[in-house]
Amino acid sequence: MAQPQPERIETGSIADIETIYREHYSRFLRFAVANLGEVERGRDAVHEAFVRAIKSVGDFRGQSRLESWLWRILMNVCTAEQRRRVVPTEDMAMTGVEDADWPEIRAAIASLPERQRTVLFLRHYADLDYEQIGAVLGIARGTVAATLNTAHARLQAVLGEVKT
Amino acid sequence: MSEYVSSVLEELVPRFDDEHGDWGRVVADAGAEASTPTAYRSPPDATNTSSARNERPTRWQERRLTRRRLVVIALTAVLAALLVSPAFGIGDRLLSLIQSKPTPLDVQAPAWSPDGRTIVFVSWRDGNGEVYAMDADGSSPRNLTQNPARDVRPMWSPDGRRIAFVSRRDGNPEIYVMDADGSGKRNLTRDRASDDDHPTWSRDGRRIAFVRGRPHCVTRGLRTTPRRCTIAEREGKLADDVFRFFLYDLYVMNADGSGQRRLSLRLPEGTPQMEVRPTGGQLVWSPDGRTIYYGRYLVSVDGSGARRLPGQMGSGSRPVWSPDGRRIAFTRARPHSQTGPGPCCDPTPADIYVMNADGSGTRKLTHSAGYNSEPAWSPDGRQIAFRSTRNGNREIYVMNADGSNQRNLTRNPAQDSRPSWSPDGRRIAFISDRGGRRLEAHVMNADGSGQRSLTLDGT
Repeated sequence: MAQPQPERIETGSIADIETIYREHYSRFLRFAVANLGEVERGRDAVHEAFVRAIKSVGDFRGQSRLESWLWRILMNVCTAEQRRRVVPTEDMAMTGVEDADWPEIRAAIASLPERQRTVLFLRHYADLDYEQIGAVLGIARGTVAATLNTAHARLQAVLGEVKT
Repeated sequence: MSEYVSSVLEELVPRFDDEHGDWGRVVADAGAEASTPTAYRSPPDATNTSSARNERPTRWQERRLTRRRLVVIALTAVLAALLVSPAFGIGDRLLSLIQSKPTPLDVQAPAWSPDGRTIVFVSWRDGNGEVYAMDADGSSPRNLTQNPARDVRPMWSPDGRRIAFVSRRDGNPEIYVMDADGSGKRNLTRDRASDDDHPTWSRDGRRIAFVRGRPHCVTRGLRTTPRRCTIAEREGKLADDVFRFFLYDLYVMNADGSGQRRLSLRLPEGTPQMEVRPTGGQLVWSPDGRTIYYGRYLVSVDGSGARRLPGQMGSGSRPVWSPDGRRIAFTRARPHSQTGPGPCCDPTPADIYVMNADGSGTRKLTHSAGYNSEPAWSPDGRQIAFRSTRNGNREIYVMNADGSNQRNLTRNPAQDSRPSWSPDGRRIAFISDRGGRRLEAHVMNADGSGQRSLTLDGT
């Protein structure tokens, strides 16, 4: 079993941000694409999130890990992007990606409460564990687990209907 | 949990393990916009748990930027600004100047005056941004702004008599203008409730377009005022469900600050509202001053509407007007799901298109594999230089404006990009990492001969 990594002292320098960007870009992008539904918009969101991170690195107060802070910035960029956009009705269910596979599960994801959907995406597409998700959202580990269970149950129900 | 649910979720969104982003562009955009009023102020304070509160908060850390990092950022900005500048012909003079003179390198946004005699730039030597000017030979550096607030993003008026810039001297970012000698500073926007940025002169110098950001706050799915959010956060009521953000609009005003008008209009029913973002793309006036290109939109300056350009044009589409203002060349990526990753450094294949200035008549000019991007019109409008990875690495190509006669000019295993024509159309500048060094500026004749480094030769 892997030893838990010691918590790094977070200074919030641009070099630290660069390290995280280079190591985890594909995960940031996948999370953004899951939220925004288009690869190009996902790229733009990740780009914008890190531009903002550099520009506001002075606002990083060390209250959380730097990576958690970056995930929150990306989450906010995606959320603002979604809310700013007036989405045509027929696209309301397309919270996932641009391809039209699995329309039922996409509709189910789109209908999840925002918190459940965010936890789901952070777990599956950002590949964060419960502790990390809790740090990003500022909620307890147990709350993360309960939220994720609820989201899974709803999706399972939809998938069950699809299978039958 | 159900493996079936996991497997479906896995299929819904592809993995992007072969993508590594473009850190250089992130740094360049952040550096070039260091004056931007922190479009994002702080993430939602969702970590306000008891454990988080016990950690020691760090203080404002912008000063942690070491001088060396500033130099790297500034050099990137210098090179980028030079090579996209229409005044390329004197760009090599500035580069040689930077090499040969003990000019402080912690500068940003150098801009030549229209007559080529003066360079303005932003220096952070005093810890806050100041707009400086110096003679073209590097002599007589002078601080034009002289204010403890941040003064950045100088933009010459087309006649070279005035300089627009962004200043926080009145508490928040506003668009200012001053005479070329630094006298007569005037706040043009005068809006304490919003942050203004990206001043861009129309070609006749009579108007200035800019981006205005207004702060918003959303909690529990409802939009409210930032002040209410702050009060509620202070009272601990909104700890886990609040975030702050800016919404941006495109504005235009007369050069004296009068007649400010919002140009970001709601598009025809069924299409999204115009998206304006601080990093959403270039703000470019058409040569006739009737249209502004911004992000994915062509915006009529008379306020009659905005038109969303077809297809998925990301912020990296780099549209460019033809010299006569009648056409626009731009880059459009092919859908990832259709094509898979590209052969080299640009993961998604893309092509160069050209359309009429009213958005009609879109034609694809490149049809080869790879990532074709960064179109640059020759001064006579007959040719387009561009970057392509069709042969496995980034090379500079050129083609006729109708897409015919495409040929590789650089033919080098290094990564070559950012083509920029000299005003006389005889040379093309570009950036390359050839020689295994960092990105450097190079130049060649328009037929690809005589390739040499601008920044390394003679050093």
